[in-house]
Amino acid sequence: MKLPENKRTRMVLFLILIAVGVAGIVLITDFLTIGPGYPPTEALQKWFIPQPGHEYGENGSVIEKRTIYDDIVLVGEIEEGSPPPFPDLSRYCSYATYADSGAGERYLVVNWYFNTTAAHSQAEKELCQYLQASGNLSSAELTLPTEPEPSQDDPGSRPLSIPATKFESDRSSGYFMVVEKPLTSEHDDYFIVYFGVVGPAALSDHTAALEGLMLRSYPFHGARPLTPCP
Amino acid sequence: MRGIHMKRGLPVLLVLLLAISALLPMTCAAAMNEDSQTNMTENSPKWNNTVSEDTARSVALLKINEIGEIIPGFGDWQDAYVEYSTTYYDLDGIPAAYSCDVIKKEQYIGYILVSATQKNYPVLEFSKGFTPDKDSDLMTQSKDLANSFAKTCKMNVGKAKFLYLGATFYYAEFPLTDSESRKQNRIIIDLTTPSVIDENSLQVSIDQAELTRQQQEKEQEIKELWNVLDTQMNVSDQGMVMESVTGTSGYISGVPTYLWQLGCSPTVSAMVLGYWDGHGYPNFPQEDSLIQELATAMGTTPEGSTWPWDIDDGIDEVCTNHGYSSMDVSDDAWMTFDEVKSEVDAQRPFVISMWSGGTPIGGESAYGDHSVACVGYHDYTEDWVSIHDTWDTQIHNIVYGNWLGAMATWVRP
Repeated sequence: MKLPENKRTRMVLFLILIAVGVAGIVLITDFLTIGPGYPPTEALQKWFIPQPGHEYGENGSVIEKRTIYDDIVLVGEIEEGSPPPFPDLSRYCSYATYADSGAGERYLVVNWYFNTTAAHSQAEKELCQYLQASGNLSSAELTLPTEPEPSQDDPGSRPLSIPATKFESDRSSGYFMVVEKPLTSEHDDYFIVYFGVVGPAALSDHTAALEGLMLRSYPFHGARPLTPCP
Repeated sequence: MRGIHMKRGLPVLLVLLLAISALLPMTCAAAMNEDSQTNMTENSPKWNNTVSEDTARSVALLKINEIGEIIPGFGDWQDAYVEYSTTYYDLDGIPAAYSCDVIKKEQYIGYILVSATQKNYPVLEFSKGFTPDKDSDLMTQSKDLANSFAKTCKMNVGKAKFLYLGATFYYAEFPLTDSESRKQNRIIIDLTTPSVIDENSLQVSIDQAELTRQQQEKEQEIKELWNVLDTQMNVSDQGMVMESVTGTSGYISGVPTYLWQLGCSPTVSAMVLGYWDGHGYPNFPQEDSLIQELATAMGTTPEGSTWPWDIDDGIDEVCTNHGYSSMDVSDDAWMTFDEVKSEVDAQRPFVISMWSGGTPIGGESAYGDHSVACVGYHDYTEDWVSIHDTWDTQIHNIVYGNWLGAMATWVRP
């Protein structure tokens, strides 16, 4: 049945009004929503590196707390770039050195960040080949409590088991982990992270110290070891 | 006067924001028309507010000492000196900013960007890094892009002129000339990406409109800042001892710094509750669990976005779930700097949710739509708020009002 002309016009106008209303709601939603406030690349390139705390002093000046925990202290600044002895895998890379002021050991943490899966896969292959040529690789399992001070009442504070790749060489020994999309599954972020001891050392003697550093890092949920070399 | 609570203020805010968004392109277009009609002579209004290179250098010298005195991590800027480096222009070829290198013991230690017009804030940016035009990789890529573009239209590329169109918006403008070296056109490259920019998109960029808005609304504030600087520089010129930075500061110790998890709003809300956990409200869970609970309670999306009026409800729900139903959590869409000061002085950290937030002082990236935890303020020649921003563990400062809009979420026991 054919609608009268004025009725059809009214219906068209009504539909246009609905469309404008929907578009308006979408616009308002997009305009007013807060966040995600996603960290920029320069923040993500040091995301897993335990950072010094900052706190106000008595006179309002800001004090940098370089002690990460117990006797472990950040040495110098968090530097950009890939440290020796590791290859330059990403332009978004940072590292930091920590000292155990009691035992005198030095620890190294490296964070390689990638914003595409292709770049990350390629880097993993390159790293694997490099590590095979310069040291020994094996599987390892690290254990972290889910909170720095686990609560007995909190069932969520069971230890977190992290599969890792153990690397041992004369220049540095430690653990490599790969963490994919740790902030949100909606965002392409890939990290290769290394927690190790500087110089020749029995890694088992330092695993607890390295786990302590990892505990002060970003959560390692879903971490995996390096993909075995092809 | 206390701010209007969000529940009542929301409709007003919606109307206001929609009105602003509707007006932005018009304001900008009007500004562009006005610009295009302006004859660029020494007597035109645009030139009356021009800042000379010498003045910019004096401002930079004065400010680096102030920055060294009060900004964490910039202590080495005290007793440094400055050298003029680059002039940046706007789209009409009028000087917009001067960058000065900060030098100490003959070493480059950063830069400071001073406005080339008294119609804008005196100091636009400063950083320990480099402006994009100093990055040889970025410049090479930009030149390659310009050359490729010119090749397609059989033209040559001339010497670049640098543009500054607002915080972190750096561009290079390359003239395109014909075989007889006559200028025929221009190509603009975004120096941070680098990528070729459609000039039309710059004409209606929100930052240009934001600049226009700031110039209208904050004309008086900007004028006062330049007057203060004039006085300070006169005192300095007369060989008198410079007065130290005067003003007041407030700060709150003990607010934890958490990195971004699940969204900025739940993360900073967890920092605020984490503070109260150590100040008489010890039932809250630790970082990860607390952020998860808050994200669920405030309905944060998988991408990490949160409806601003759900932030107070979410915090309230989590407080109640842990036995603190007496905690008074409320939104305030009309936060004033006096309220910031009184809240910090009362030792109560709170959430600031900003729309189109600018770049923090000394930072590299603009905040955009972002929630931060407020932990202090500086009431000097400029008003600053001190914040934890979820991007690292440092205390940052942002100029109060360096956003399109902002809402506070007060959390009061």
